[in-house]
Amino acid sequence: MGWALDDGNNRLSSPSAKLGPVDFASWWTDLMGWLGSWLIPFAQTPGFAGILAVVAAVIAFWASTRNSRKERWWKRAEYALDRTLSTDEAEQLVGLAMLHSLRSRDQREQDFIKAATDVFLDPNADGDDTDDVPPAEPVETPGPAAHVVDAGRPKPPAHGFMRWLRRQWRQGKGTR
Amino acid sequence: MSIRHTDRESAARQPSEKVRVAAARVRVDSDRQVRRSTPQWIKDLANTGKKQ
Repeated sequence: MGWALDDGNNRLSSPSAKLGPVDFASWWTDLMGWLGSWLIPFAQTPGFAGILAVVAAVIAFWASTRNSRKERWWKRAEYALDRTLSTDEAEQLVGLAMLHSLRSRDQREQDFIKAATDVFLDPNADGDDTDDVPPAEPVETPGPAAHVVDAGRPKPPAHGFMRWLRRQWRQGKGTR
Repeated sequence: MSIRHTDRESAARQPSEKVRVAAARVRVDSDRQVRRSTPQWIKDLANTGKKQ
């Protein structure tokens, strides 16, 4: 029923037919003309200057709040970092817990936390954790024959190199 | 300054396992906040000692 009635009243015609490129352009021109008719005179009034002042004040307040937050963050981070630098384990844990409590979505602030934890996590201490592996399990102390490995080739020990060299020389002399 | 540096070096040299686990947890949480990838071994270290 509605279709017939609407068709009869011409209310179901396509919106694009009414808002074609030519219509839209004229609508835009009308809108700009209307805006210009009151905006340009309004921009010359003290009221407009007042609005601009309020906007500037809001921006300044936002910037000040943000800087203040950052400053407080860095103070807390510095305090926490000082605790982690302690030689006392309990104090280190307190410092790390404080670092853990610092929330931030700022990349530089999180880089700071990363650097602070790398001290404990970066075994190579080279600032690059991509080449790191977990610390190896403690191994047994090598026995007397531990230096003789690798396809029969004797490997010099870390300590007592001269003694090892003399022994190698004697063994070589005995086999000739 | 030099004393601090010495303290830091010695702390970095021999951190206890408990401290390393705590540092790993801080690191994992920090990486999560900025959507940065964390090496798997750090995640594993952070999960050690957690109740299953």
